[in-house]
Amino acid sequence: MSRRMSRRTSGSTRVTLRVMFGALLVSAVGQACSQYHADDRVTVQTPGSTSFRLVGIMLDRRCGSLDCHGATQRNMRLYGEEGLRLDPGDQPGSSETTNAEILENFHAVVAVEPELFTKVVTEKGAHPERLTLVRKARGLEAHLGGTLFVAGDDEDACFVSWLGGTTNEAICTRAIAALDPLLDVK
Amino acid sequence: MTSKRHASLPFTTAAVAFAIASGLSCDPVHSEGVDRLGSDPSGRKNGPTHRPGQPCLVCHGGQGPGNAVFSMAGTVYRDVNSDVPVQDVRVVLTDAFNTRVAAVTNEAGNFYLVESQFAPAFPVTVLLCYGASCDPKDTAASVVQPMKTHIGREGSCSGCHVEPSSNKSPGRVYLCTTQQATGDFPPLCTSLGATK
Repeated sequence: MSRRMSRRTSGSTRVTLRVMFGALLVSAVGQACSQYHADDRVTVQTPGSTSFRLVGIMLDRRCGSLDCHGATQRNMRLYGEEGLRLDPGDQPGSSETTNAEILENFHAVVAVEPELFTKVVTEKGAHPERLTLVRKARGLEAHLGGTLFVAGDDEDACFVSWLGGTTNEAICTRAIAALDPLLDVK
Repeated sequence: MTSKRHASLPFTTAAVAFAIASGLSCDPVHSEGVDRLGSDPSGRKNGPTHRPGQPCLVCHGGQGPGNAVFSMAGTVYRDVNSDVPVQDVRVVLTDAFNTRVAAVTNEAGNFYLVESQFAPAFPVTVLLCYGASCDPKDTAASVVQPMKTHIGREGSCSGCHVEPSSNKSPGRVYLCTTQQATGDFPPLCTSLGATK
């Protein structure tokens, strides 16, 4: 009899615990939702959009093909000469990358992780692998496009130099030139 | 009563497993993609020449309904405004590890490579060549057309090369562009017929 009583008690305790856990979960979710404010703004510190020009062109050539970040369904969307065009009247390959497209690319890159981006920039580009963009490009994190940068290579150095505040234009130019398709058929 | 309940358990388990499996195998995005292709505008029977200009890997990407699984496939036309397919174009593909393969277009302008022939590590670069030598300098006997960007992941040419051209698409895959010096198509292209 007493054993049956104790079973009943432990059963009711379990039910009580479940109810309490459920209530806690609902309250946590509710609290998390209630902390969202539409007016919240993040102030981002960047190395600047002017120094981004060559970086933006390099990123577009490397990552912005129409089947990757040149597709409208990507959240880090890149525009440029041979890929997605910002002006509906332009076509891929029809004209050079415009300043408006470079600016859109700049916004796309900065907006991926604005707070973390600010931190990396204020620390002069130290440990850039804190950024998801760098980890994905270096293949340190799952990336459908595979490994695109090797730490220290021209493309990587171009991007990292911009994060550090001084875009290495020579390296960026070399990286862009190397991204032309192979022409040797035989 | 108890034994009856136990006897129904395997059936229930099988039913649940079947329901889960059915759910997993049903990809509405893929099904929609297949449906969107509609009937074959070319009117050809299933085979290497059917559905030119359509995104081959929607059906031949491993999820069916096409049995053959392609890694790369597409259709080559004479020029950007042309409906004329070009046969015997060598489509040369080079992947990130410098593995290079070539496929040749058939009478519908179609080419395809199955996974056992080419399982590329992206990005992949592409070059079209047509004629005797495939030498870019031998403009009398060859037409060579490199794709200006790489392919990042898409195996169907018309996944990106959607007709008509727009800010999201360069239009069809084409072999011929007018020569800078004369404004004419190269002689080999002229022999391929009219634009439309």
